Amino acid sequence: MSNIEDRLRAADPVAGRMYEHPDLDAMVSRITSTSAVRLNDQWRLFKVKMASAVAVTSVVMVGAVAALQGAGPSLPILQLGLAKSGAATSPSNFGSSAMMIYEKFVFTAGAGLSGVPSLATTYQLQAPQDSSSEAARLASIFTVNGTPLDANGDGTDWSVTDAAGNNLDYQFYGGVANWYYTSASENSSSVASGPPPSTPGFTAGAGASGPVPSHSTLDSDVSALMKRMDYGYALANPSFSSEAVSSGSGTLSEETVSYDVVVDGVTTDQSAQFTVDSSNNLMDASGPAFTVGSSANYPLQSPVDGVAALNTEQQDRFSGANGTTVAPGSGATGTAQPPGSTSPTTVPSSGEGSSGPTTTTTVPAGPPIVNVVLDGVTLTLGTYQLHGGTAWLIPVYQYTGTATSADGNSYTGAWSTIAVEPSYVQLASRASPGIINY
Amino acid sequence: MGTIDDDGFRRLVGDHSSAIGSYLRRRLYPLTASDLDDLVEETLIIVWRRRADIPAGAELPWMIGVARNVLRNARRSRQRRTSLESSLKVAPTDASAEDYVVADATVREALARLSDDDREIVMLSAWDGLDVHAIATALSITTNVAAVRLTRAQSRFREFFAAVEVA
Repeated sequence: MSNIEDRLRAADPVAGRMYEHPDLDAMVSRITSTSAVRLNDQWRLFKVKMASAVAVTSVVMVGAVAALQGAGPSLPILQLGLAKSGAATSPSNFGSSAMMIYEKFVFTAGAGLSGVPSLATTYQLQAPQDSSSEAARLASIFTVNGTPLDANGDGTDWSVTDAAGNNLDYQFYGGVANWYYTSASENSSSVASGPPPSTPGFTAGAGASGPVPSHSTLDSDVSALMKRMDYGYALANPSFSSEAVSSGSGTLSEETVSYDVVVDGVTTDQSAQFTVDSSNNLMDASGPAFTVGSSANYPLQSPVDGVAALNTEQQDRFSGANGTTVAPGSGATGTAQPPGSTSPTTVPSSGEGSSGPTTTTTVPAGPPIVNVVLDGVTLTLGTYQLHGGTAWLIPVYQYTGTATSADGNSYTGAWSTIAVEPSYVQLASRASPGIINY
Repeated sequence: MGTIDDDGFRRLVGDHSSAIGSYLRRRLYPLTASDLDDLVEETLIIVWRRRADIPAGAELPWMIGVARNVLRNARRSRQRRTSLESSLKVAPTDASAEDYVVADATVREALARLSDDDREIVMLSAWDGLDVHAIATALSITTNVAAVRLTRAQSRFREFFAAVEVA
């Protein structure tokens, strides 16, 4: 095992402290003897408790109801769910879906950021109407000869596998349909299964022992393939990487190209990738499956206001936790604060009775502060599920900047927040379809 | 799989509640001990209700799939801000926050740079100890797709790790 894998495994935050329920027997007895109605009551109580907790995502929240009432009557409020998985997220988004970093970012808008609001377009993503037919169509394009099988018994996810083991999967992931092709040779751990089949329309390559195809050849072949797939997006910003795989037969070469998915010239948070061998046969490929449906222009907050929104999210993450909350902009000079500088604080407290002795209570340390100067911003499109389950591309500001951590180290990073003016954004109040119903 | 009875469910809970709670603890922070117990219980309530669906030999990854949906709902509930704005306070007797975060700064930064999907599958493999078959069950995808996604995610993690170390 490599050093990297060792460090990753050693970094498990609960290693050596696996969870133990305080009374398993009592819990099991409760579960197996409780009626369905009572179980629903328990979940409602739990959700009320959790609803009062600190928000931990970067989704911009609506303020008072009055702000909603002030929204233009022609523009519906965007009732958002969770961001689609599948795109690079910023450190500030990390906490929205995974173990949170115990650091508080304090953002400052760099001099180059605009304070001017603007307008941008949102887009509804439409998946093909019949999932089974779409799986069959894609399998035909990739010459995977087989019958689509319902992968999960829910009629939405389908899989086609031919006699040789080449496979086409069509699955909904994060609210958007995705296609995945894997050749039999990619699925097998042994090259004895043989090379992948030739890909219709791809330029003949140099052969098993030759070099991988040139970037321009691969890019051109992918372009032709995407025309046949006929989805409502373009691919841009190709990124190439090579890999040499050693086997009993010698060294096999692979070339991978990854693209950003672009709609109307704007980069989205979705991507497509294609891997070929030196014969220019596809080993695997994947990408989203959508056309663009409705669209609407929404007003955007300015990039400077977006930075303020990022700071508000950070405040909400840590307000109420032990430790002092640092006001936004306190790190404007870019000076790192040493660890624990926000704490401990001591507060006098009185003992029982008005004449009791005064004691001091120490409030434990808060999170270390990381000061970030955001000096670049790009308008992109992020994928969100709206209340009711439809997937939309929503304008998002992608900021770049320099972070200086408490120990004085600096690094460049990226952070993002929804660009749509907050009065047009609201979190969905009900679970989206696909969540277990109970 | 035939529907399990009370004893079978009790054994299942005994075998896997630790892994379920640890799965949830790794992914939602801050979380008091009692909130985590509630999430575990909610997961097991659903497992009990859907016990006829539990696949034999893949009980744990299937239960992790249930926990994932419970987690999604918990996060969605947490995102609602009420006008009273009461905050989830970390109880003084809880272990300090640093005890449950990723201490290795390079690993932490490399994980942060991954997409949500990539991070989840890397964590399922490295920390929750699932193989590709179990990952496929937990994520409700085919083994082929799980294998490809895991390989790609691990490759991206290594790239980010190397980049962070150099920086």
